[in-house]
Amino acid sequence: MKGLYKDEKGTLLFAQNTINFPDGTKIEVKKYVKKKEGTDVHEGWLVFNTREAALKHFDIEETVPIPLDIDPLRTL
Amino acid sequence: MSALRRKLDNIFNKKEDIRLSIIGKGGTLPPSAPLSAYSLEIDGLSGNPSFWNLKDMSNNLLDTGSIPSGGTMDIIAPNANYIVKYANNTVIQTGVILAGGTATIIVTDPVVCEGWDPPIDWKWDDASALLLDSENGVVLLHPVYEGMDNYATILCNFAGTGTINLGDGSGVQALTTGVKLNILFDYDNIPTAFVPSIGGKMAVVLVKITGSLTHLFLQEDNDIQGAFRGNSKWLALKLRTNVHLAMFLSHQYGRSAGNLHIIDLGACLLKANGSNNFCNLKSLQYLLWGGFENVIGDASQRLFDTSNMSGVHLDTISFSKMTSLYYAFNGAIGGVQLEFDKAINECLSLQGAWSDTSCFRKIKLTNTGKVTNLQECLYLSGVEDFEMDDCSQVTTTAWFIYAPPGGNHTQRLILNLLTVGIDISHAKMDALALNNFFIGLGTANGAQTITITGCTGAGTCDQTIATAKGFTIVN
Repeated sequence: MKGLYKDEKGTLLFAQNTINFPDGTKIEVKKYVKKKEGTDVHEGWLVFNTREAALKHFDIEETVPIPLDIDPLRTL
Repeated sequence: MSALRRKLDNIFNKKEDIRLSIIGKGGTLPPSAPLSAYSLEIDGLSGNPSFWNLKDMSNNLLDTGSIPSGGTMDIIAPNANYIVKYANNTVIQTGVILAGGTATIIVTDPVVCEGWDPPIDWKWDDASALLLDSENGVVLLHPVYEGMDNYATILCNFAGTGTINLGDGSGVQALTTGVKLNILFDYDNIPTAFVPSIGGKMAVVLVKITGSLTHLFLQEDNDIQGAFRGNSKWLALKLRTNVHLAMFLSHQYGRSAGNLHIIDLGACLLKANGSNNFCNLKSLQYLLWGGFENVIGDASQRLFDTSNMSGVHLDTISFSKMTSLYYAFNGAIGGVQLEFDKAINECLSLQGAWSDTSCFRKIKLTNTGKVTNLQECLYLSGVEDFEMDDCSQVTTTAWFIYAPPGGNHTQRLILNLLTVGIDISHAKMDALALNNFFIGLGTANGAQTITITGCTGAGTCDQTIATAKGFTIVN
């Protein structure tokens, strides 16, 4: 999905509409999505057309959690 | 009221015993006093214990008296430990208080299980009566079928000596601590009549221990049968012991005592390393477990993971000493809508606690100041209302509330004093709910991001409440 993406400590963040920063800066995503992929808009938020492209750029391997198997039997 | 219900009430309704336990040395508690919480102040602990003050939770003095050593309330050297027991000598609470300190004795109502009774032809009342509350041991039901190899195992660790009667005519035999007993029930010699509801006969297995029972395993491989997967066939369990117990009812790969319909633990306390205690018990209809600080340490890890919650009454279970609720209710089933309102004073991790379950509607957690991990806490969960009073130590929120668009049920979320970012995308939180969520936040610990994309009120909430605290808000 087109939007702004950011690598925050290995987690991919995605902004579809707006970003409000503590310093009062407000980014409206639609103003930037037509820019070239990889454009740094503000504080590490980059333009990408797809999530996959962002993951590849930031070299993030995203895995959805799968509930773990039951723990092995504990021994005495 | 069913016979079982009456019996259970007799077991758990310990009003008189509790009065004896608390004030059995001469005091009186008003007969009308409800089963609730009392504060017990004990003084003179540095020397000879001298007196106690019993107060209600409004700090009204109900009674006072002296405390001798021994009896139903024991003060143990160095005079800072206390033990409260039922009149039958079953330990219901232990603790440590300093001189002049306060111990709170939580007296809970009897376990009440509505809506299910075991089939009459199980004769569970008669079977469970074989083991007195004052004894150490186990009584179990196991179905035995004609023309089949009826395998089972039981392994107990205990002090003293033990005996077991398999109820199949083989008589009483010695049981050795730490040695697994491989059982092959003899259908023909089981003296009881055919039990229509199970399509076979019922073996009533009775274990009696002279000392304390410390461990129970019911899901081991039978060495005659070989390794198995799936459920052992134990149907019902009553257990009594006067020490902390480690119970092993489940195993990896889904092998478990998953056919258990009844678990009656009375006031037993579970041991810290006994995690998975009720894990993978999909047939569970009754969990009869009342009283005080029932679980200590990390015994709550995967406590009810993938188990049937329909007969579980959480009101009687204290979680205040648990250090982890790691996947405690993950995948729980049962078609119920439970509320979980508990203090979790010692809990460090809520990872996966209510993930992938629709059995809970509302979670209210207090004394949560030690929690650091919220990862997957409400992952694919049906929880609508979630509140923690102190998230100041939380460092991990990955996948906290994840669900696909349309699948997130959270309408109210309060994470007071949270200082790290979190993704609450697609929560059904309107502008007011989001504003209240922002109001509860602490000050951001550095650059932290909160994602509210897809939330009902994302476009109309007051994001400045959060940005003023240093958070970046992403929609």
